[in-house]
Amino acid sequence: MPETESLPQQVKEQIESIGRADVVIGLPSFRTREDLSWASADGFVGLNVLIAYPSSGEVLEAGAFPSEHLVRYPISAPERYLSGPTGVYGTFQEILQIGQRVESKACCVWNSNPQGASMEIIEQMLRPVLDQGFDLVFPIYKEAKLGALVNSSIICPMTRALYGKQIHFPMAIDLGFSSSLVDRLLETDPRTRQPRSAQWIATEAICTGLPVCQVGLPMDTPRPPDSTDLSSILTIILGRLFADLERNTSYWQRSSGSELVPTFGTPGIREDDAIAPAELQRMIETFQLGYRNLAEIWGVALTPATLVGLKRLTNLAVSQFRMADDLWVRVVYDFALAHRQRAINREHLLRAMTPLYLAWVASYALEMKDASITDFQNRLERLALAYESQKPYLLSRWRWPDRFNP
Amino acid sequence: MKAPGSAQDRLWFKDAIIYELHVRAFFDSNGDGIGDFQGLTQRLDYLQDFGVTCLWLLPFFPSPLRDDGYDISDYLNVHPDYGTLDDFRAFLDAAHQRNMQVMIELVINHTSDQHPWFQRARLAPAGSVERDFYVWSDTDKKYQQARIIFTDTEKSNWTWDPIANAYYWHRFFSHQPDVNYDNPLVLEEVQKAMRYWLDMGVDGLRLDAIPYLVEREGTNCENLAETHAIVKQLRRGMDEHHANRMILAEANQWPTDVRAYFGEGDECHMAFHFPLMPRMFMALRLEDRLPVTDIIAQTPAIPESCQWGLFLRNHDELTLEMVSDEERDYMYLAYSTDPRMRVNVGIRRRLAPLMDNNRRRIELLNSLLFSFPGTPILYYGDEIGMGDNIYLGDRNGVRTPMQWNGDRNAGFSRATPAKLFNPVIMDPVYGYATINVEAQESDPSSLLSWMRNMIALRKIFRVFGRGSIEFLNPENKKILAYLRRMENEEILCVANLSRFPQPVALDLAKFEGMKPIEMMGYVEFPPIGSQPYALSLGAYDFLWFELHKPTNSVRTLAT
Repeated sequence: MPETESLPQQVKEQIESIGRADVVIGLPSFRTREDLSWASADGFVGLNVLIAYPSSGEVLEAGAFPSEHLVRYPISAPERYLSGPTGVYGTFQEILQIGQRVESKACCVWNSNPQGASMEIIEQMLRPVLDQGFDLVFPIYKEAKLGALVNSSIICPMTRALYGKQIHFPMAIDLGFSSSLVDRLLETDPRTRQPRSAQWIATEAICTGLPVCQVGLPMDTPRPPDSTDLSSILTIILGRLFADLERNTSYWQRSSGSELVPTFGTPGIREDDAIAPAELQRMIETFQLGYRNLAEIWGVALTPATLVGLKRLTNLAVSQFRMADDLWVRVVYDFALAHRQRAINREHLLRAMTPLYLAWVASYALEMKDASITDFQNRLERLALAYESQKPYLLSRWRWPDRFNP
Repeated sequence: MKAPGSAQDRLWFKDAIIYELHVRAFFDSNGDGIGDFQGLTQRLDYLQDFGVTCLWLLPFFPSPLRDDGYDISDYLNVHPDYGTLDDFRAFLDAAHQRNMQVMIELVINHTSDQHPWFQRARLAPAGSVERDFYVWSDTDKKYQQARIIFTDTEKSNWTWDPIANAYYWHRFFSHQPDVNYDNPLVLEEVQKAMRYWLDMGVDGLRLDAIPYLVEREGTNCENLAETHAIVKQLRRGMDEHHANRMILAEANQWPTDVRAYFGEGDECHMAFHFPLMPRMFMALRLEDRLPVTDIIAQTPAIPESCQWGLFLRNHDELTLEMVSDEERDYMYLAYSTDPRMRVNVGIRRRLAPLMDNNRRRIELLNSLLFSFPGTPILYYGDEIGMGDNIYLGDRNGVRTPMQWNGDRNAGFSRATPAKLFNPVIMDPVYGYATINVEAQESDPSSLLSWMRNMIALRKIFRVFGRGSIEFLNPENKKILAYLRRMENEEILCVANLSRFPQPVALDLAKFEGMKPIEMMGYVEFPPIGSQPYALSLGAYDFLWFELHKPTNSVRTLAT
């Protein structure tokens, strides 16, 4: 068992009395018994299923799911958005520990609202592990033109460009794990001296060469709580993404091109509302304000040519407001480089990216105003290719850091 | 159960960047003019940021300090000038927290004449166990075929001890009597010392002066089978109780003789490649690759689990023992115009002065160090181009205080300058006002920044530490070109040893179709064709290329 195991004795004893389970389903976001109304002992025909839920929620009694296969565990860290398998905080570690103790073949951590789950969805997530030998399964949530833009404008294309894997939601908070990946995630990483599960799991699996896949699910992208502000989300996500670049330098600097990971099921499509013109106007004004007030921080991170490109943007009317993909990608890469160089406080740096992100969103939303589903998929593909084609720029500046840049 | 080391990979030393330093010279935390462990601990962030992964500490044990600590009087303690055992433990923990391994010295050929073993031995009756801790003789005519190593100071390997009424054997200074490995208790005591430090968590041991452990009449008393048997026993003892540790052999010998110190992977993990070092300097000055390619060709293969230790400069003189007489003459004339620059059989200068402070030459030699097969070992201060002081005795001229900034004592110590263990370098070219860490940290074009970038770049490619080497043979002898290969990694390195631009055409036919990507700037060069690949290199220029296969990437998103 790992040195870092945090399960209390009582839970360990309960698990011991259960013995083995083929599948563990963990629900860190569980609150009330309604969250588990879908649980049924009939799911996963022929397999023994155990459900683990946190002690912060109600106590479950025997229902459709046999109580002896329910494990209530105390969580070691406060739950919050992005606290799941994205690896920012370790609220799901206990689930992996339970999975390891019962020697499960597969383990699903469902961090989204449990009421959106079902035995069928969980089974979809775990079948590639159980039947086809995959070690990590990502969900593909329903795609929408203006949905999950942090993912589609930064995380997804940057992961693809750097790590060579085309994964729709590399930082998804619902994941399926194999037992061997669970074992690995519970080890301590000698480089960080933290459990590997505290890191970004996607890159942990990719860099180890473990087979990963993705599954189209009939559900919307999980939304952060309304109280979570954009700057905080960007700081957490980009902080994780950029920190991982330092950890995995020897992998991503030596990989080139990208490949589609095996994909099962068909990703759904969700219609969404256009962003209101007033909202677009506000985004652009935030960017313009940022250009005036954050010049010092941007000047540390961005090259003169990029700054000139941004200055040009500040002078454009709303209707003409377009940020070129190359410019946006360089902004992201420049911030990744500044993050690595620790030129200024990292949180301040990442927060300073918010107005730039809003500029990109405004530009993209204006461009996609009347676009079809195919148009927007092609648009994001073009962006992903821009990330790939600009990778040498990131590589050159990473390998030979210099203030004297174009 | 074996005590684990701080490294997870048993071959960690193959990917390491080793940094050699003397605690005494690095940073003084208490203002007594002498560097100490607390000072070193305070400077670990600098070393981590610089990128080195293993610290090699010169001897820090109690000692009369007549040979800079290589004359040890107590193997199990810390010299009070440098702090306490607790200070050492705190340093070790702090280094491990920063993912740095620590290597210390195990000087097992000799002790100080002040060591209690020697004091006891000289008083003990002849033939007693205590007496036999050292090598005694009634005559100074034994082992006449053994050469004298410190030719400047010693006339014989025997010195008369009036208390013992006998001669004692010493391969180095007369105050450093050699211990006697024919007495099994000696090895037992040495193993105790080894276990003591390994149990504490030390990751590596440098075995000093390893070829001279055993003496036999009728031989030159170097590299004897009995010596190898001792090394094997030490290694066995280490492997039995400790995991992921390393032994580095100091054997200033020809490659074929050093090869024996790897055994079949059951003696030392690493050994210095002494003959390569002067030949890098020679090749540069001659503007001819032959000295380097020749010595590499003479270097036998070593077991998979072993590694060469490569260096440009260290705490000793640039040793010229492993060159021919003619080559030695050339090196003296080329690199030590002032006789004061010479000591024993070598040249006591740092890297930057040897290069006449020419930045491009310094960079070129470092590029060879970082790209040749082996683990690079850097000497403290060379990363900022520190100079030396040839007016100090012995090899102290290259052991001056680290130059941290332009303040008093180069920021090394708050002591009055007269109290410093050695004066700081103050000349106008290399003096601390000009050459110091603080200035170079704030200058992205400094040598320090360049070195940091090179280290980071090398760490990306494991092929440098683990791959094979194959020299190309272009017509232009001023060009040194070689391939480093491991599994699917292929690196091409090309260096111009000349002070003028040079053309070269490389036979890369077997890589036809591949794309060379210049590694520092990730610049794509024209693909390799069937014709010789033409390059031009500026003076002292070097280029490293990754050779990429043409890619067929999938560019379609899932639907």
